[in-house]
Amino acid sequence: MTDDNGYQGYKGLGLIMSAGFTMAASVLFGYFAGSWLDKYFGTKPWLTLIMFILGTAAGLKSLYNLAFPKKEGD
Amino acid sequence: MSAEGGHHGPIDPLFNPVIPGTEYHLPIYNFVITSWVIILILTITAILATKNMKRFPKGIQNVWEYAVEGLFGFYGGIMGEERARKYGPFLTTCFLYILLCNYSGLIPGAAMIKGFVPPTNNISITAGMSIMVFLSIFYFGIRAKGIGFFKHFFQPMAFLFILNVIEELVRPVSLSLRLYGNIYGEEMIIGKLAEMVPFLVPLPMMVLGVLTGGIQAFVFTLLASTYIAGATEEHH
Amino acid sequence: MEEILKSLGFEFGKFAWQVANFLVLLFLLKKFAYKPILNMLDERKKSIEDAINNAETAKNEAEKMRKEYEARLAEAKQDAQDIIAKATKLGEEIKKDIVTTAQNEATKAIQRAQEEITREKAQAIAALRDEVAILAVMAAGKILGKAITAADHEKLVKDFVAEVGDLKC
Repeated sequence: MTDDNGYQGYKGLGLIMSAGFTMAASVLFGYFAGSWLDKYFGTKPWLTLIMFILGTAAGLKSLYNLAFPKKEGD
Repeated sequence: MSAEGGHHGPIDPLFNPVIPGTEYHLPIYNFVITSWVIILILTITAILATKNMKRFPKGIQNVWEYAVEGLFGFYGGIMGEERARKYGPFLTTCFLYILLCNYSGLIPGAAMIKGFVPPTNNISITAGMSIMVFLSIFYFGIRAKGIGFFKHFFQPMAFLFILNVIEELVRPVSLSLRLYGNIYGEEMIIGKLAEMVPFLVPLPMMVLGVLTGGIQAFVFTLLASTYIAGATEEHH
Repeated sequence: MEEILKSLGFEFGKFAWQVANFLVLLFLLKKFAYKPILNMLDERKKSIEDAINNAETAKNEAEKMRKEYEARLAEAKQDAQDIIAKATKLGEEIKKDIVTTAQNEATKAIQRAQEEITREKAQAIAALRDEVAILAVMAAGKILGKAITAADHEKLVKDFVAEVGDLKC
């Protein structure tokens, strides 16, 4: 159903262009959220480190989701 | 304040009237006026296009029909025609508004006009758009699937919950930063170039600006539609 | 958090304005653009579908009619064939009839003619016999030198005829 129109190319192009920023934003979000939490709980630098890793993982996961969107009826 | 405040130089907010009967101010920022102009342009052309619709479209009706048909077709390719009908109005409004906001920064000499500030080169405005998308994901998702919408935070495995939450929260951040960064960066380059060499040299940059403005509006809408598609997907 | 937002130039007032503006635009465009345009597109799609369906129906109908006409034409041809065959048969019969009748007529005519001839012949023979008798009697009278009375004459003829009548002519 999703392959029967001519927009697939544009969609792919758009996703490629957005991918880099999505990844960067995830990593940065993890880093800043971690440092804010560290300041709040006084646990420097552990939460920063954990959130940084989690942010990176979330970025990778969202890239995966963009590349392989869940199909209807799964 | 941000660098662009100094660049454009106008007083912001342009007006700051007191709300009658209270001590609060209602600041009318420059971008708000630009935004109203864009809203007016879109609404008036829409009214003109649909006031007296013909079966064989001509002029402005044709333009609007082409845009709506094309965009809804595009969403249809992502989420199926039925859901494109439901969520298309929101997504199309995002696209058209962002597109015109981006292009408003490309009008030569427009920066001289009082109250004329391209809205999308400001993080507050792109954040406003992104929050709309963020909330719409929840709104559409809950409306489509009820409480079952929250199940996807524990999928495919429950321990991915924290990753899913981070992913969800990053979405508005990346949406607003992407739009803001691209448009602001591109406009700053055009501005600086125009300051240094007023003629000819900024022209290719203007072409690039047209490209960037279109692409960023498109990417924003595309991501919003994939997010909404994911949130409203039926699982059986 | 605040520093990050501030360093990016985030202002809540602008943010709120943007949300409000967007909702207003969404409402306006929903009312003035999407609804009427989508209705129009649906309408147009439906009218095209209808037109295609109608054309399809008309085509099918035409096809059906064509088949019907073809069938009818074949039938008519068959009928014509039958009629010709029947007519030919009838003609044959009539011809045979006519020929038979004609033959009968001819036979009858010939028969009649023969009968006529026979009768004529008989008549002629009878007439000739009378004539010959009278001549003979007259010749006999001359030879006898005396007149013969009518009564005698008649008697003579009768006798003569009676005698001659036995002869085969």
